[in-house]
Amino acid sequence: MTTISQTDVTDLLVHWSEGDQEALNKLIPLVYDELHKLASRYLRRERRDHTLQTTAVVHEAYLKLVNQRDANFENRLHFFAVAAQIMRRILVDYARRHHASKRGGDLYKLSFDEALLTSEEKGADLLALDEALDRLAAIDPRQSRVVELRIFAGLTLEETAQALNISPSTVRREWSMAKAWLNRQIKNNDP
Amino acid sequence: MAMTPERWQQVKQIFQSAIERPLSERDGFISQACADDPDLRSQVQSLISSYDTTPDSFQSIAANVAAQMMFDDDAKSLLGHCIGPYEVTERIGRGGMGEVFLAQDSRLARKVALKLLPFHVTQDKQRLERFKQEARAASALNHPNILTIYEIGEAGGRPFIATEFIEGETLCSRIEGSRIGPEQAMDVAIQIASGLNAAHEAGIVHRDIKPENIMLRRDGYVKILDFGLAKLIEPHVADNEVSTLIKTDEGMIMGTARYMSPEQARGQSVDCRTDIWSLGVVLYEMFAGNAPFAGDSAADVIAAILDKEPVSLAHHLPEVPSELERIIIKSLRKEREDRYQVIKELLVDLKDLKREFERAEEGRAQRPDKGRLHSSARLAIIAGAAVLAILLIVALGVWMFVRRAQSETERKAAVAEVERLVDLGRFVDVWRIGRAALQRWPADPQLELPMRATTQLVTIATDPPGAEVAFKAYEDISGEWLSLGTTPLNGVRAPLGQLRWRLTKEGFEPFEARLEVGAPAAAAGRPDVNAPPIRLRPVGGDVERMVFVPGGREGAVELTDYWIDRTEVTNREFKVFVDRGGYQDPKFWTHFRQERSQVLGHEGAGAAFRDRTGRPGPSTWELGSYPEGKDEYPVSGVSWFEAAAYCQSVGKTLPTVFHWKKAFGASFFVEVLMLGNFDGRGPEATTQLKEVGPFGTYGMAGNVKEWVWNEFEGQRYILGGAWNEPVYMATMDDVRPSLDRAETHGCRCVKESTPSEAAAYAPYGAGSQPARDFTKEKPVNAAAFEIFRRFYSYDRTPLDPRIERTEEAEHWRRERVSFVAAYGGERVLANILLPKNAAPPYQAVIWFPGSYALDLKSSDGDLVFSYYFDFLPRSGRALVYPVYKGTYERQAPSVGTSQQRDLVVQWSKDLGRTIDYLESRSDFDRDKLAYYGFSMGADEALPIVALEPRLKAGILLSGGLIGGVRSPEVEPLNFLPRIKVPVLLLGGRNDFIYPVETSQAPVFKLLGTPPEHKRHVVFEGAGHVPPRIEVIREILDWLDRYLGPVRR
Repeated sequence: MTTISQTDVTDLLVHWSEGDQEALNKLIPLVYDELHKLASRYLRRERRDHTLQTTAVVHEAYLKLVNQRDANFENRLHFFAVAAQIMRRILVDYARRHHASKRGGDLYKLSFDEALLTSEEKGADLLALDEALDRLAAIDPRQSRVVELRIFAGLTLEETAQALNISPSTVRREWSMAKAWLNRQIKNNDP
Repeated sequence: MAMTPERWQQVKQIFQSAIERPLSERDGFISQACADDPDLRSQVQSLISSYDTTPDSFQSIAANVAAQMMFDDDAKSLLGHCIGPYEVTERIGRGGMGEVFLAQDSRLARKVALKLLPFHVTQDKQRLERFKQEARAASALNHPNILTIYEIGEAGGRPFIATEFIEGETLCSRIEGSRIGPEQAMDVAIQIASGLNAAHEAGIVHRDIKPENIMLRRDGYVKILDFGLAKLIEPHVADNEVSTLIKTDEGMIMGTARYMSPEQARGQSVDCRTDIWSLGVVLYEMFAGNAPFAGDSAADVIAAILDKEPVSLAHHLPEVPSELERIIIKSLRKEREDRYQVIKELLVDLKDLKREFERAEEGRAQRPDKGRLHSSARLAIIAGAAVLAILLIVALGVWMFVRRAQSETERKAAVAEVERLVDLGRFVDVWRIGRAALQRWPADPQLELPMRATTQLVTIATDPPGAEVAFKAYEDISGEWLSLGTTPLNGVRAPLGQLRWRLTKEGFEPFEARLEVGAPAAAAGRPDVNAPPIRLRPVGGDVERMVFVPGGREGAVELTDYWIDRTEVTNREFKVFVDRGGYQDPKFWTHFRQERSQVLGHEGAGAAFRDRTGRPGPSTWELGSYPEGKDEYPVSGVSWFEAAAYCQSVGKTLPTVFHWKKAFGASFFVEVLMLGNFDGRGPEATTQLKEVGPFGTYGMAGNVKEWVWNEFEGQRYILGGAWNEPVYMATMDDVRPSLDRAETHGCRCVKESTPSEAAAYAPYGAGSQPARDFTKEKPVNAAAFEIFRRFYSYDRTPLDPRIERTEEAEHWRRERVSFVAAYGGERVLANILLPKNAAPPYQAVIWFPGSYALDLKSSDGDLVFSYYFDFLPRSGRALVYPVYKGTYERQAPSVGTSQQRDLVVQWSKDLGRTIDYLESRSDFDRDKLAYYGFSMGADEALPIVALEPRLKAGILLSGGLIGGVRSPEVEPLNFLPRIKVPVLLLGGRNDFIYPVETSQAPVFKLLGTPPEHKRHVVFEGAGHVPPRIEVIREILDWLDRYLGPVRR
């Protein structure tokens, strides 16, 4: 029986912030589990509207995983930074599988309909976005972090600014450009 | 050309400057900036045009996929479970309109297709009802080409449709695979038209005829699916609303757009001629192999539907009969008046055409005879059997009907009760009532789904097996125990949330603990599949009064298995140590000698630690013993050295921070912590404690603080909080001097199987410096502050005050009032304690609570932590306790810097409105108002004191400046110089949260109050919460001085 405690996560966040990459490897499964669990609970709770709010899930995961009394602001931002990466990984994996199974046609199709197909398209968009983000990271790492935090952790401009320790106006400028560039990349990628 | 980082920076610079310019200047600017580099210019321009066309929905790419993933996961989790009588076995389709599962109807042993609709369609009950009626009506036609619906129900708030299960494929996948032969296409078309004809005659329009909704059964039958569903799912649109067109562009996809009629595309009302159009499209596609209206996007398809004529069928199929072409063209007329007016006409034409086909084929093949005639004898037997069967069925039906009518009323009542309890979050009661009801109405979906949604599987094993497992709601101390079964339990359902659970078995000690169902198993200390069985202890074993905690990781260290005292060490136990001369026995005081010998000499601990009468013993004792009748109370008033010596004397040790926290298993639920003793009156007997941990410890939250092993900068940790501290101290680290012998200090011991790794005993948390140095930071200037101030202004709209309730108590009258908040159409609640020993108009002290108020849900009953303010009404002043935004009944999300900022602004407005309200009453003296904030009220809430000009004095208890970065407009530092009223600052010398030098002193220094009107009292020996009596004395003196004497 292993114990996942708040102290654990808080400590790991601190270690990671001090440059310990091993800590990140330990953090990922913890955060993954929690995000996943919360997300499904959210779905159940929000009966009327199953549009998932990434922000809400990430924030709640933070509250649950990190001991609030010890938590300082920096931890919070580190957490979001991790959460954004993990969210990205989870969603991209999902979109990839989803896509593959559609292509493989192993599903016995009884009735497909619009929302599904819409999300299939969105899945393709997400994969294209993921690839484009990797390319972006190679030429402008900071800009790609801005996108990751905004899109996958749902942070506001202001929070993103604090997380990356840059000014909100810089974030706004980076975000504008990233959006334009990524949107074009995704469009071009579309088969 | 490849983008290099250098090139990228170049593009970025020009792009970012360009978009900040007005549109009219952009092109000029770009041309100039990229003067000699056309490549650069085209890169920038392409980005700019993309920038202008990037939709807002860009940001939701991830969220949309997340939504789909969750939906998917949720569906997956249904496999193997029951929805009503249907056991879900396989997923056969999926989508936003619903997941489709193959399921087994347990009652009738038949396969069904189960479509679960998304939750959101239940939003509009009326629509859902209409859909049900229509779908049932279509099914009731019993037409061979219309899919039979068995049941439309709701399970856990989610509607489902159970239908006959069709083995076969959809027309969609059929035509995707290969071109369908003309003969089969004709046959399919006729069957669809035939089904539609029956529906139209009954007044039912399908609205969404498309190949996905047509099933081809293996035996050749064609079935139309989902009558009425389109209407349920489609967005609300008024007739002739243009916005539909725009909407379709974003949200809809080709699949549906292709079969849409022009009137649907225009958002106009639909009738049976819409189905005719859609069938026309399907016909065209079946014969031509291509859709008649195509395009690259949904918008293009819709444009084609509205304006373009399809390519002639003959173009795809040279030998097509002209009659077929005519039929299709007549179905696809843009104006519905020009189409077939009723489907019957289309059906007749199709049938005629088919006959022509057949005639053409005649002679090519002779059809075999379809059946043989039965012999008349055989026929008679069959008829007789049928009559008997019918009689039996009728009799059974009548009997069942009568019985069902009686029980249906009761069943509905049970369902309603379960729903009510689900809404209240009372999952234990849902479990209790739901289980009983399910025994009566087995597999009822309306009962089973809520049960499933509010429970989780737990697995419990014991060594030896055969223990009775029972539980109840955690806070329901006196409630009845509900039996869960006998161990081993493999995957039984237990209600989500906080449970108190118990294991009992003859000959063994009973085991009682907290079970957090729904939390990660390990974190909750919950037994699960992988956990070793819980060892039951035979009655009278040698480790009585201790509980077992399996080893494992806690924080940064790995612990070995250990036992921990079930309760704090009691007076009775400690007296054995005192009586045996423990204080004089040098072998128990090695630490003391090592750390303190220089200071205290060599006389031994007996001289250093004396009781009130100078005898060896805890500081709260007299004559070497505890007060009479307090045998089972926790020993209190011991230093860390005495606690460690005691543990050693009984062959145990003090727990480390890690041992303590693991056993405590901190809960996220403040309700759990609130069962600890925080009542302000004094310690509670260890036999009366209510707060039980995941491994069976009692009283770790509250009661006495418990010394633990680890050192922090020469002091020691002491955890769990005390009876006179706020509830959050249960989970907060606290540190005191090792020699501190306050009346709140006690201990419990542990016994490890083998010593844990050395890191567990090492100094803990050292070197953690405060995030900010407030002695160096500077508040913002006056101009900036003026801008901040504007965030806080509000309009003096009518208060519409109400007195919700009044209540008489011995020393005061309590009023619960409410008035309109300055924002959001909300009402502010406030509790007011009016003095009985004074005359109006009253002086009033407005209280601001600590952060515990953010965690608690109700301010209606006993006021938490009241022992630090209830002396005020007794002293003749009114105590006003607003329910600030985010606290108690007025919960708010409190994450994110912006939300934190909003919260402080709302607090300020709440305080302002509270004073507006007090001013509207004649029994308050508007010139005699003071502020009294505790902890959060003397920290985050400081801006509201600075901004409220009507306050005459302030009291800040146990607060200071700490923490990370806040928005400057709510940063307390910026507000302190603007507080000009007299301020009394009270804090403990050993406050670990707000240390004197780094946290309290900066507040005092920065206050804008003239030096002669501010006072900082540091209580020696006190921690986060100074002693009550001394606090009261200081506060009353202060109020007497600045508000003047009370009117009697």
